[in-house]
Amino acid sequence: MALALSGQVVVGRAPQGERAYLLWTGWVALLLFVLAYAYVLRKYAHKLGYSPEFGWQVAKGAMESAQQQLGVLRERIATKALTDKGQILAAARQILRDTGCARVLRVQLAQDAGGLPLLQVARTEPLARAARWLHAHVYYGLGACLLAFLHGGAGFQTPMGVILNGLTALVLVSGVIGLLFWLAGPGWLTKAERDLSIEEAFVLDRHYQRRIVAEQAQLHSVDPQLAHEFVASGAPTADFVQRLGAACGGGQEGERRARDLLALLGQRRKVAAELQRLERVRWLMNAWRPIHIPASIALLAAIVVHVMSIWLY
Amino acid sequence: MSAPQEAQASPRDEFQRRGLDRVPIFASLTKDASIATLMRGIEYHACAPGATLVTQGEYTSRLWIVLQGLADQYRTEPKAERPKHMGALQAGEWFGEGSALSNQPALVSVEAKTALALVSVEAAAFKALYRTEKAFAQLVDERYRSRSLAAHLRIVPLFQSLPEALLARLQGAVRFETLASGRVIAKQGDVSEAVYLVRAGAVKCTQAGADGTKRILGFHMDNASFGEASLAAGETRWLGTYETMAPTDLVVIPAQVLRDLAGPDASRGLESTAGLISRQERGGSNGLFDMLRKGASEGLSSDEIEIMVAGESAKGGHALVIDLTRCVRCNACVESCVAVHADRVPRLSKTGNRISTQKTLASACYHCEIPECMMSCNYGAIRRDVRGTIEFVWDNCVGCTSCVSNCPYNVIRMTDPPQLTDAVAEPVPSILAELPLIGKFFKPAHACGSKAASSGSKVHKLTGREENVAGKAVKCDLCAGMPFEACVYNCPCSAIERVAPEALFPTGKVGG
Repeated sequence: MALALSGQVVVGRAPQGERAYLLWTGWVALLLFVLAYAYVLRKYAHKLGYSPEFGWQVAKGAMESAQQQLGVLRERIATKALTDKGQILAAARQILRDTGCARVLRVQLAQDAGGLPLLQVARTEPLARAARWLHAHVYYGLGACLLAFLHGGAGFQTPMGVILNGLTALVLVSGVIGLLFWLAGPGWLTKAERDLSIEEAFVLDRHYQRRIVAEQAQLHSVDPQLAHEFVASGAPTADFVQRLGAACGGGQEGERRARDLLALLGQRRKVAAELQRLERVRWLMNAWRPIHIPASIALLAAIVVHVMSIWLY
Repeated sequence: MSAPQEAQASPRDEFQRRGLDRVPIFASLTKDASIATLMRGIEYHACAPGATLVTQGEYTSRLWIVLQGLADQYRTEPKAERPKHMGALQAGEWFGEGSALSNQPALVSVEAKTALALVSVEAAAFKALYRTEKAFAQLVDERYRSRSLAAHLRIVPLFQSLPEALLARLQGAVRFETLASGRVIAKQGDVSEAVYLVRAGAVKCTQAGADGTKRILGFHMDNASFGEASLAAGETRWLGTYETMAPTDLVVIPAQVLRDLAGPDASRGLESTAGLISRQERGGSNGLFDMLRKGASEGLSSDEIEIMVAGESAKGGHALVIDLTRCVRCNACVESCVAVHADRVPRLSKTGNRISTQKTLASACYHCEIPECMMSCNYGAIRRDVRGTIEFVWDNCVGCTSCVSNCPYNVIRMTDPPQLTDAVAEPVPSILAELPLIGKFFKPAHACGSKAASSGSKVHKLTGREENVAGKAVKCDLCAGMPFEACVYNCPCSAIERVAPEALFPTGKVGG
């Protein structure tokens, strides 16, 4: 980068003398891209249960035994039988090793209100949280795009230049927009959620839908046409209400039941409208993903082709 | 030949053959059904000298009886330099009844002095015996009165500085009461004649204003006492209405006994002891409950506190909180929860109590201070581990759903019976697990339900009845045995966290 800024090399051009520059920027950009893609691997390895950490599980009995022995250690700390921080940590780690829990639990020392060492137990979280991977993904991605620009010089003269630089720009822009949308989006959606959260609206909508389908099936056995109109109708007409009352058994009871059914329809429509409104906000928050993800996959494929072609030719 | 004979022996014969009828606590058992329950819930243990059996402050869900050998009891007071020896346990004596009966953490640590032979009884079996056998219950209560009550009373600020002799007098004068949830202990305006100590459970105090509006004055649980302030202030009537929020065990100390203890200067003595009662002096934390108690004492003006009271969050421990200003609703938390459980049933729902415009308490097990699910389970299928985490014992669950209906937060789910067969009991190994050298790292394991529930009927260990297992209850197990808590670990936005109640109120001002 320093060479490019100092004008010693021309960004994007590759005469014989600048091969080293192009190779370095190219390989480092590739490495950063791969690191950025690792986030996706980490995410799906967990979701599908293939992460190596899944094999580290220890039996509940071992965890409990470790906690019990750590409890005895805490008692020794409380009675000041053990005060040296190094010794406390060593003893605690030994307990974790002896019980076979060292891979899943870790210990750390804090200080309690009385100034005594406070032995805390936490999970090891060996591959780090997904949030850290997402942050790293953003930084690696930004770094890779910058290097790709230095490497290719935003040249659109060749088909490969168009594909690689175009896709890089697309991934970068959609990613940055996505970053902004994910920062602001939760706030928008939370504001938009009035009485119902989007999850609650979804559950309620499905509940009403099931009830309406059941009611429609009952009506269908009495009057198929009415059953069709029941779900299709907008604002109910007087005639429709009358027919519905008759289909529900007639009389006062039939009329009451018809009113209940219409209320159910009204509630469903209201919840469905609310859900639709919230879904729109959620869609907007994630609108960048249908561009970012396919563009990233295409970019990876193009990079592989580019590297292979350079290698071979 | 002997094996079939043993199989046919009645529980009473077996009880006598093993010499359990000579163990004092079991000698009072008369009913055949009780003996059968005991025999199904019993386990034998051997212990080397120096081994710790129970640690103070931790939970044990069993009643332990020493058959042979000697054990020492120790208790460490909050500011003490060293543990105090609380006496030895000899053959025939027992411990752990407080934890098993009232879900309390152990009051003392128990250590084997010599090689020990012990027998332990599952909490559910012990509770069943306690409820059905009067003489047995009396024996347990009297023993609690003579051995444990003093230690119990000593942790109550009111009695912390009481001389031993007076404490001994108090021990003989108190009475025990067990009340169901929703029962009124004392009504506002009624004559106050006792001081109450909450042994287990929870009590809320509300005061009705002149306009009829109710205001929460406070919460009492886990060795908290109430009534002394009224007495100290010279009030003869209750200032509020006290109502149980869960099944509650109380120690009732008649006011007259306290007046006698305090001597001629009764009111001043009570005033000084009542003045000791403050959360700060008690130290420690009871999770959300303490936060709410503090909130109540400051007038409960905060919306968050009001919502948490309405949502019965008082009963909960650490909560799983979603920060709505970060959550992009990607569902990764729920999907990762599914990934670590063999039955593919998520233990978490993103719906829950919205405590402010920015935070939601997700519907995942709170590992309550007052676990109503555990108290309602008659099959020993729910227990606390040593640190207080509520754990479901898969094999004991008969799918009766009583825990589901008793959970205040609706976080317990039933697995779907049609999907539950022994054929899917073990997780399907990944093809990557076949790889040489690294294959072992890809062996799928599951934090909970490492075997899926089997539907059909089975003879239950505790009841001895054939139970129709229609499914199993499941709930958040904190990804037991895993090096991560899946929902928190896999959230890409750090939006979900299990937090201490204090963290819910970052300003440090509850009720403000």
